[in-house]
Amino acid sequence: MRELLVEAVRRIAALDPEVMDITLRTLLLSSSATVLSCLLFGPLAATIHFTSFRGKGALIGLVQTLYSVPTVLIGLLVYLVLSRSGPLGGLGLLFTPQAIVAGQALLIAPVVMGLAITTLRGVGSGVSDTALGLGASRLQAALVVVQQARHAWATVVLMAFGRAVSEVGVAMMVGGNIRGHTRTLTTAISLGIGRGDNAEAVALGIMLLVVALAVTFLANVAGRLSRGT
Amino acid sequence: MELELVEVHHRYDRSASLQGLDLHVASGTIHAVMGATGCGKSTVLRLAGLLTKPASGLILVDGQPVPSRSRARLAVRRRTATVPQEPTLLRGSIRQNVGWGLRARGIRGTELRERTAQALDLLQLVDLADRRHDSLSGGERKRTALAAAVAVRPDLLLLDEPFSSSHPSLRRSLRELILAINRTLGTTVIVATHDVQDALSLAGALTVMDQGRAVQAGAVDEVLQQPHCAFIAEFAGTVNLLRVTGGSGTSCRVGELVIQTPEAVVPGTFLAIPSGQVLLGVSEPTTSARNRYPGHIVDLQPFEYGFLVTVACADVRISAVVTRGSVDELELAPGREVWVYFKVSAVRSYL
Repeated sequence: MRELLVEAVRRIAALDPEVMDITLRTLLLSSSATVLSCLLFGPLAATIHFTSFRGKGALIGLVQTLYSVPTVLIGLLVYLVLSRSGPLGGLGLLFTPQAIVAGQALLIAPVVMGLAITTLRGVGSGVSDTALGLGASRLQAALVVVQQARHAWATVVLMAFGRAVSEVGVAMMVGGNIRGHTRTLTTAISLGIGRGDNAEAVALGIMLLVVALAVTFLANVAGRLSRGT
Repeated sequence: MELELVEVHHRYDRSASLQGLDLHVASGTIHAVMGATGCGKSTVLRLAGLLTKPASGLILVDGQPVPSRSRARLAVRRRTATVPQEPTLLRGSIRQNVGWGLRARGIRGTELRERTAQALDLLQLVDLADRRHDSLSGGERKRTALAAAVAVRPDLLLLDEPFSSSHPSLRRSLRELILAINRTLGTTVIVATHDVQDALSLAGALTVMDQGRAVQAGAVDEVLQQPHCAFIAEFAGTVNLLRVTGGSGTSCRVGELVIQTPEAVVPGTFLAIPSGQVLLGVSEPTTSARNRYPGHIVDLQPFEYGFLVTVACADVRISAVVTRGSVDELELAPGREVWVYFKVSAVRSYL
């Protein structure tokens, strides 16, 4: 065990090209998925928050329930959509980095929407009322509410990124774990164990842990800033 | 700006907050909306400020129904400004908060700076202008919110409990400021309050609300002196309202009585004497109270924790709140001869 750890640390310290390549690709893919998901589902969450309609509470409840949807289910769904016989099969995206980005963006959508709605609720109606009472349009008032929660948005983004970077189901099913192309930290750890290269698996595991800890630390800092402490 | 609410119903969640409210606010006046907590006063302000739409009923501005199209509705809403009871300030400096409504209207540059500076000056906030939004006391927050509202020069200013969390000297300066805005700019003002003194000190017209309805409306003194129902009488009963008919300086005449006041008053001024500060005795008092008059009891009604006893002193009626124990001890009953007395400091004057 000790030798395994020493070898893993040695590979990281030596900036092993394979480990670094997989780590950077993982960061890039999960960052892209997070940005895409925030751009698509953040405004949707804001629209749900700022409008009144029948079943709004039930919809928000459903979104929050989907926080913990199994990653393989999303992987399976995206696989079926992108496979040759699926509705988007003609795009030829299966087993590409783009497929991983799309799948992870979908996976973290409930987290982005649920936390975004919670963040907007946290600002309170007072801010919106103040803006409207001073002559803001509905859009201006909504933008002020979004702006008031600016530090809390960092928490939303980091939590969503944390979920994306640590998932394995989507990356494996729609990425295919192709070396130098779609291999990520989680799929590479799985492969490393499978083929008996435990040192690489541990080295990649350490990198994943470092990323996860960094995300948690930054989320805590953002949370403190949003509370003004 | 003239405002009219016609048969307005409104609900929050599942409970009705307004039930067929009628309200007419004449252009250029200060109109108080008074009632107990939860009677729907704040909802009236939200509706008047077009912050929310009524479930049913009409809102007329200058005789025209408020348009439903959002752009036209926004144009009408921008003629109003609302100061809530507990204002929330936006992130940033006090200066940024005061100029916020102007920026929302697309006003920038010199005009933004000048109008913001004027509003800061008017509300005595110049020294606080660069402080952060979260470093102010309740009174300072209220002044900031009022400055932001004043900066946009609204036709209709909506104030929810404007004097709450303000100490007496600030109360007086805020009152003078609101009166000055009304007089100099012709701004129509609606003040929601649960305090008779606030209504008296500011407003010319008054609508009293109870459980989402307007139970009486009219000139402030008429409503308070001739209440139509027990609810208003209870509100009005907390204060004796007497109109000065003559005299000069701090010694004025009300009917046949001469009343000593803490400050000089002129005929036409209203004197307000809280019933709780009026005392009764069966013989001439030996206290230092300089206002003392003989009279006889004409009415005695259960009131809050005791009785509201009305005494006719010559041609003036004065009410006092008396405990049940005192009524029994002094054998107070209609027709009983008594002395009414109160200190000079109990007398407030309103022009």
